[in-house]
Amino acid sequence: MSKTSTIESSIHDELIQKYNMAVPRYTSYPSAPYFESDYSNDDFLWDVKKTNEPLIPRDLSIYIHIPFCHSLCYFCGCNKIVTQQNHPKIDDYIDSLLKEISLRASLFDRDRRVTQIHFGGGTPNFLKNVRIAEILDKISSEFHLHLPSKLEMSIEIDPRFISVKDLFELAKIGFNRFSIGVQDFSKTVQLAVNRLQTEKATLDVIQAAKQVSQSVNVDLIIGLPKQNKASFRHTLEKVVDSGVTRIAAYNFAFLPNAIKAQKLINPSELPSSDERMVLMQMTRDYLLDSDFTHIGMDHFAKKGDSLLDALETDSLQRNFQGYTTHAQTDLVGLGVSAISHFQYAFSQNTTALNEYFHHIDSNVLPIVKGKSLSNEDVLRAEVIQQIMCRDSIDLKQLTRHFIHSQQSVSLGELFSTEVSELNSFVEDGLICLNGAHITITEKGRFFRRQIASIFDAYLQQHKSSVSLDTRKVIPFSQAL
Amino acid sequence: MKTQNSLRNVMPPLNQYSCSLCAMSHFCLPLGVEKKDLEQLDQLVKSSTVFHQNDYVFKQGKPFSKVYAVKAGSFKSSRIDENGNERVIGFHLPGELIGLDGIYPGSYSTNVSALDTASLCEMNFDKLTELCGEIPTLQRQLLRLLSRDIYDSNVSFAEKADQTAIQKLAGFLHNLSIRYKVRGYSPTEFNLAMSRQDIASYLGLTPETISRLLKRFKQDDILTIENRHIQINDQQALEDVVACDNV
Repeated sequence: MSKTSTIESSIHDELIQKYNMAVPRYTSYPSAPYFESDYSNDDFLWDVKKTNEPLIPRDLSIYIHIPFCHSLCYFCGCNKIVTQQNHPKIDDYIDSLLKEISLRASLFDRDRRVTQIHFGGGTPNFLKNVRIAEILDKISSEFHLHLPSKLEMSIEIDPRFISVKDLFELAKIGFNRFSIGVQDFSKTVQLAVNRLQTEKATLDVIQAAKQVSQSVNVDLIIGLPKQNKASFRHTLEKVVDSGVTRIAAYNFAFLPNAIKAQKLINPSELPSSDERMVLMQMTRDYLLDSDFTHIGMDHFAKKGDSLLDALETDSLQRNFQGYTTHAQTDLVGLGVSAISHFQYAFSQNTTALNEYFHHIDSNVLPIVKGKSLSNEDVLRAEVIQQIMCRDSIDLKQLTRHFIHSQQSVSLGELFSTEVSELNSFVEDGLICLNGAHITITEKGRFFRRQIASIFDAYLQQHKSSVSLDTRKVIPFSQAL
Repeated sequence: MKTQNSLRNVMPPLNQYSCSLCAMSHFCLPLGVEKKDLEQLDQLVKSSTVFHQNDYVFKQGKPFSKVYAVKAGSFKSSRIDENGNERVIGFHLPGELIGLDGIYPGSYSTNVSALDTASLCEMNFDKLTELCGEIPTLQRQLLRLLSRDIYDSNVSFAEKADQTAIQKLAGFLHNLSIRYKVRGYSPTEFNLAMSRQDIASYLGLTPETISRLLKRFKQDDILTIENRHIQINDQQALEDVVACDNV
């Protein structure tokens, strides 16, 4: 791709400003704030039973949450516990986790295959490799794993606390995907967020990961304190040169009231919204110029990476870990704060370690909230999923099944407001709309969540309860 | 109010069931029985309560006294083998008789339970044989139905032995399709009331094989499958699979 074409397709400030609105990241729909606290163990059992019933049941994904960290990064909004490596609660946690694996596994029919295992945190590599292996052994004895060649095993790595030897060992245990936290190579930025990591050590870990894996991801964060264009450009160059195949450049959300750790960040050091916009534009332009393709939102992948193949063959999916290449699976979340997701339900474990121990000790699943979904929720979740993952979305096709089962509703009645609202995106060149068919342009990929939010009934309800709805409504049936 | 009254004139009392009004009469016991004789059969037939999923009609070893005809919904019969595992023997759709296997040993040889919300017609076997003495067409139809069971088990016994997994499954679906068609339901679109475990047990395969083969039928666009709902897109292809394992 030539320089000029990139500049032409750059995203202008006005667009970013116009669509700079608070919308969920749609790792789930409904998004987590709409989970209900009266969702019980019985509800979960019922919802699992439903996942076992189809003639072709979905494969399973397993997510394991390791909440522990060696030190506190000031930007982090994840569920984490900063502690010493030999603290007794770490053994207690693994014991409980092993027990939770048994409790959950027994609920799924024995022929449900596991095709994906992901370790997230916190810092999964806080645990010694033998402990990680112990957890994997338990999973493989309680669940039915797919063939090793078909099993995707991924782990988030904090490169400050892993040796090349340890990483090779993880590959031997079976991990075939690595996601490495970089954030920013600038020392000034690293000091401001309490996360010092040298370029050399980090790049060594990336190289080691590349030796044992086809797909290595690096996480970056845009909008950290003291970040500037020159230093972030340097980070981007280094990361691209390292040969990673995926880059996630997250937009930093500064929410000091909700996330305690962020109180340690000096707000005056944060880039202004103009500066942040420049960083986002530069990142996208630089990566597109470096042979990366924009997958959606903050995710980029290089030619040859399976994520890009998935985008091109319409098999891309989105889940709590971001984008994934796997066909739709039922996600089983294990450990403190972990979320489980089935087609017709979400549920989340307690975020408090003591409560987690207490529940597991009494043989109760540590679920504290969740939501069983209605047919309409599931339909909207599918539309949103496609907007997040596809460039071509046929609403007519998606709604056909739903309308069939709810005889009173027509496609026009169902999404008339939504489709008329999409016009603003059409005018800005982010989508093309042909009847009930949405095509997302390359620029539009940047705004997937904003486009998707139009179909979020919970968000729209919230909006209309704040201000009176004065939108002009064109019946969808006329658009067809 | 008016509608209720007029309905009451047409519908039989709740506790009783009229064979002459039953949609299944053209292949259940009443087939060929003259209208005046049907009244006698009506007096014999008792309508069962409604069964819900997994409710038992009878269990293996219970003394034989009645035969049943499926009125609505579907049932499965199964046996517990010497290892304590459940083996599914058959599935029963409306108009099919259940419990005939108990005549010879004097006790039921299977467990019969409902697969979904379902109902039955009950007939005391002694009274039914008595009535058969009076109505030769009824006797003939009962023997025909018995013979059909023997015939079906002969055919499948000979063929099942060398059938591959995919032939067995295609044959099973094809057979269901025909049975639905005879009953006036769509032969190409139906909900399977039985789970993949039940189908696996019935065909002597594993549940994984069932879902793997169904996935293959789906990929080849022979079937469309959504949850428990099956749509046969290519009936001919399905029959070809049964005839010869070349897919």
